[in-house]
Amino acid sequence: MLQRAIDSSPHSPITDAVPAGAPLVRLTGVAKDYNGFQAVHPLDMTIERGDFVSILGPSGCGKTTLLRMLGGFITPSQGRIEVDGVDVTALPPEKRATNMVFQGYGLFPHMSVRQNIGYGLRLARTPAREVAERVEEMVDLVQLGAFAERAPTALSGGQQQRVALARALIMRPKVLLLDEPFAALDLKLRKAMQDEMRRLHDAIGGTFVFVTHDQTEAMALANRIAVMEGGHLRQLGTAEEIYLHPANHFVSAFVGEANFVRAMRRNGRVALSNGLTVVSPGEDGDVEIGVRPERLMIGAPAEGADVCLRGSVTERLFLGAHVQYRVLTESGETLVANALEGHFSPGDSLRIGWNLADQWVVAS
Amino acid sequence: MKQHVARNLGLVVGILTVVFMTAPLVLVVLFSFNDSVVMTFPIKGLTFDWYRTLLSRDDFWGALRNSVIVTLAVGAGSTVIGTLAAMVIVRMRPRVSALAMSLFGLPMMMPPLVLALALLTLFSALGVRLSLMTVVLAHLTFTMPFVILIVTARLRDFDTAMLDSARDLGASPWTAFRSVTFPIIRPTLFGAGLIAMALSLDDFIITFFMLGGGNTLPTLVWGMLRTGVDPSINALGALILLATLGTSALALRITGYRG
Ligand SMILES: Nc1ncnc2c1ncn2[C@@H]1O[C@H](COP(=O)(O)OP(=O)(O)OP(=O)(O)O)[C@@H](O)[C@H]1O
Ligand SMILES: [Mg+2]
Repeated sequence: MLQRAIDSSPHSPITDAVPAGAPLVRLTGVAKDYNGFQAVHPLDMTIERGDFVSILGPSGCGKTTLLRMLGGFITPSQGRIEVDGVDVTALPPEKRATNMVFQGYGLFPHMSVRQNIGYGLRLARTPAREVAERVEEMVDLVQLGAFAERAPTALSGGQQQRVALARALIMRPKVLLLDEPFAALDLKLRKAMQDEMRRLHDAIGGTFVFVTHDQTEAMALANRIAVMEGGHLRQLGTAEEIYLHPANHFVSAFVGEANFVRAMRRNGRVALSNGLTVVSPGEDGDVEIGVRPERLMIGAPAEGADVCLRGSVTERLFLGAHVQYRVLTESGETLVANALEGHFSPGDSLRIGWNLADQWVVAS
Repeated sequence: MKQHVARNLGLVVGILTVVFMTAPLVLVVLFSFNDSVVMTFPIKGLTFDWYRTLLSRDDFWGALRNSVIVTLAVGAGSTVIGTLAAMVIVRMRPRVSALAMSLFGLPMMMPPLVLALALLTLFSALGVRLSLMTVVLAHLTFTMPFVILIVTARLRDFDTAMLDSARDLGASPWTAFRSVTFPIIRPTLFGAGLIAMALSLDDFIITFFMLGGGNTLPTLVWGMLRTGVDPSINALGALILLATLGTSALALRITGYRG
């Protein structure tokens, strides 16, 4: 029923004009310059209908700026933003089919939870009965029944979060924008809210864009992740793609722990230190081979690996779920390997290796 | 021991200061009820005669009417204009807004006599005839800075995510102001307006220079003093005191001022 509700969005007449398969959101060369400071460099990006996109990056990389450009709160200094085939670049927030959940929630303290949730519909002059029905629908959806007559100031952080979510969702936005909505919550509540977000997205469909600087949160929620660094979009892909095949050094290191081994690329082939060469198209020059600590094999299993090196253990850390070894290879690289077995000690010589399927090559 | 003395000394000085500051006011109120023409102790008896005398004077009613008009106009005017100014100031870059604040604050810091002379010169140069209108304009110059100061402070700690949310949910800038900003800052605006009214109500110097003819309550006091001291002045003083204290107390209460 909620699915139908989303489809009959007040903005939907435009949908017919757009050819099937066209992306819901298209950014073309969008950039933001704050008086000479380039917060977002020109970037292209498309978001498909039903996507749950996460914009991931360290503090100050331009995530909020990008999201606020989508919402209409910041005018791009160049480029074009289309939502559902309509150029919205110059439209103010109130004229856009997007709705946003702000980091500070921005709940109205002079209205009850119900009034907060119904605010947007009342402004749109929706008949009172329909407002009441849809507010109730939202109150149920975010499980706020017991608190619906309270003022938002009398709610916990997680409850306020849900009011903000409901207040945006009731507008049936074509795209729901969320700016680090769980940043202020403690870890446990954060996990609970992540589950709730997933449930909501499954239940009502729709397209979500979610800003976060926490890569586990991005992976837990999003089906596509946009990794940003210093105002640049570095990679856009699924969690698997960005984790297993990162596009560059920054993404490799930001989305998880990574080992890097220096190598050279010549004529589209990269030579590994054990003499093996692998096909890797790209510019000639210094490259880095990346591999995740948990993909490294040590001891006997390493002997059967595609790449196998000799080394000695310099450090052993028992971390509960796994044992972390620091291994110095004969070629002088330090590798970090996470293993389930813990029977090596510092000083032991061992073999360490990995399979070609588990490595990636990035320019250094 | 030494500390003990120091603390007691402090207490004594404090009490003396309070007595020195409030005694004249207490005397005014006391003598306004004193059943005697001469203002001396001991108090002979209590009477409402002086209030009756005051209320029977025609010029009292004229002055009261003028004071009410001026006070209300100044309260409304400085609240509206001051709020608009504050909304512009909070959007300015920090250095520009600091400059704007000090410019707006200038009339508040100038000696009233200088301000009065300056305004008188301005109005006569422009050929504006003195009237209640000029009094109101003059009062706006020194009451508005208070409103701007108070409202700017309130707007600065206003959560902008609320306004962004309102816009996001379909509100135009004006609708966002009407449905979110205004209801939330309304108590502050009432308080600021009442402070402006209290300042306007008991101003004498500037009013005296700006008033073409007639009286307001403070100029009436002055006029009555010149024609001979009569305890009904005390009644008038007590009334002005009551009105000023009343609006100020209400203002502090509404704005939630604590100490
Ligand atoms: N109004 C502004 N004027 C000038 N520079 C700004 C302005 N707003 C943001 N910036 C700068 O632009 C860059 C990107 O800011 P943005 O808020 O988008 O970062 P972010 O990725 O959301 O960071 P965080 O994770 O800390 O919220 C930052 O370096 C910031 O200092
Ligand atoms: Mg941010």
